[in-house]
Amino acid sequence: MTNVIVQSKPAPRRKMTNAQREAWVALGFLTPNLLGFLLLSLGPVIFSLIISLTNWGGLTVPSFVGVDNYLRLLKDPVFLRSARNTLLFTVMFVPFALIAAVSLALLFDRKVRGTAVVRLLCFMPIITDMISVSFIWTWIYHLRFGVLNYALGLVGIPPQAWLGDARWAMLSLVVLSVWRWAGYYAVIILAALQGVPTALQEAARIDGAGPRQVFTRITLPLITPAIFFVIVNSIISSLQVFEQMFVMTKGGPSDSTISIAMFLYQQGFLFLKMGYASSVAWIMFLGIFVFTFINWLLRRRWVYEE
Amino acid sequence: MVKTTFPGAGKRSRHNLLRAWSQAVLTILLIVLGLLVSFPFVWMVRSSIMLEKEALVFPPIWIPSEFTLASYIGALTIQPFARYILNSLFVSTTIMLGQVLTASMGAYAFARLRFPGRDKLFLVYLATMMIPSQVTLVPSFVLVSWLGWIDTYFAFIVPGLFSAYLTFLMRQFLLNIPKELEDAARIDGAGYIRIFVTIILPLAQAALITCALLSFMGSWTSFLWPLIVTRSSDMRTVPIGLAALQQQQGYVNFPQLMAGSVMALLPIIILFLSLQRYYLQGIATTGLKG
Repeated sequence: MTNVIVQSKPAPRRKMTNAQREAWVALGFLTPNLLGFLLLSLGPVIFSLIISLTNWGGLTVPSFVGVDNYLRLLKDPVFLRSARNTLLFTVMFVPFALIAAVSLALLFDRKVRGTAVVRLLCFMPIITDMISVSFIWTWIYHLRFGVLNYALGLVGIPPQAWLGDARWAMLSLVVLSVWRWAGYYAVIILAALQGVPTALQEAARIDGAGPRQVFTRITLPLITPAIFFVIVNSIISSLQVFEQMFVMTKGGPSDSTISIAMFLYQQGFLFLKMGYASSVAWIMFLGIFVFTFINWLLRRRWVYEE
Repeated sequence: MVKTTFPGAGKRSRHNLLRAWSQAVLTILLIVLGLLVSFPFVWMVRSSIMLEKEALVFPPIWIPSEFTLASYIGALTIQPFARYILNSLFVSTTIMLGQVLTASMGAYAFARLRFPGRDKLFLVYLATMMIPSQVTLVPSFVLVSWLGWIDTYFAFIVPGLFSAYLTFLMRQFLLNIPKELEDAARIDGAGYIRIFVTIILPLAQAALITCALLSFMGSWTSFLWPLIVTRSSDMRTVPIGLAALQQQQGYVNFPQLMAGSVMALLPIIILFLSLQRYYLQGIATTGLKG
């Protein structure tokens, strides 16, 4: 008996080729990851799509309503408001952040003494949690005791309700967001700047190019991939903006800072409209997809490729 | 005048002067920038160690007349803030271990092993990375409620055990390890597991630290998910507790909020400063290859 088993055991092994063995080993290594991916990522994504086609309200029995949620969303004035606000935030944040990041990177690239310390300081805001940061800025923006109103008072500008005035609220949130993200984007652009071969810049200089020409003809084109990355990512993250509004303005005053993510939170977790909230999430995804797609289309026009 | 005597020398000294000037301007620019950028943090610390009645004075008092820890004591006693810190530490550490384990094992399969459908599967991973986390918010919440996990550690930890992003990042790192080392070990008769543990992981040490750091800081600062799965005060993580601190009293006690913020930020700032090299490396890797 035992003999038979011992003899038969190596037989299938011999049949298995090295490639097959490797595939099985790979599956073993991949299993925990794949399980996580299927159960925590892909599964919920599909589930979300299904929920978005129902009128599920948390407690009630859900029924299938097709694309009704999506059609209702397009007529919901608060959702439209949130979409407009999110776009407004994006339109202000992305160029500000990009200009700030490129300027910071150029400054850091000059390698003046003390650069390392300042670079570190500029990077600090991105690692902090948004809630603490939002509190700090709420305090800075405070109408009566805020240090910003104090500083502006020194140059004769009357105090403003930065977060309580619909004219200023969104801009105030943009300023704090630029403060938070610029250092991070600058590090990415700086890495690209430092990757530009100095030989190319030297060669251009020998050919008689001035500093400005060297920058616009050599340096700038070579860092366009990093700039592209920053633009794509800053658009994606601004379309999801949430915490600033949640802590600092609660979407107010009079819905002037309610964002799509905040609308989603309210619908899903305050009013328990699970189906409706899921369709908001998919519209958000659609927005991100469209913007990213357009960026990739435009990429060929201006991004340098080797 | 100088120019007439030694034209060449004059040119050079003018050039040097220009250089010195531009250096000076840049240095001043750097200093101003550093002050501006760090100002919110300085203001936070300053407001956290002064008496409340001195903080609520206009124009602001720059140097408090007396330093006090009253705001810290207030923040720690008005609600279980120390408990929040322990919750955050426990949750973030567990998620970090889980994520790094699943990511490094998965990345090993994706980067170093061959199996049918590998690249297609990886593309699916990449595609889901584009889907915003808000999409999975509702279904994950529903799932967690069905399992009865609301207001338990499971609700925080289990959904966080996998990260497509870290798998991607880890794979990028592992791709750079030379094949020869692996081949040499294989000739010596080492199996796949042995190669993974004794060759790949030690070589990927920097990448592992980077991933661990990104993961830890990600869960430490995570807000929306913990917010919707916690009910009781005892289960709050630091950001949730901080947000609750705002609503604790009838009015907003800013010095106390600032003290809470200092306590929330201190651990990650220390962590970042001690491991910043790895953090920046992670940024550069995703930034340049993305």
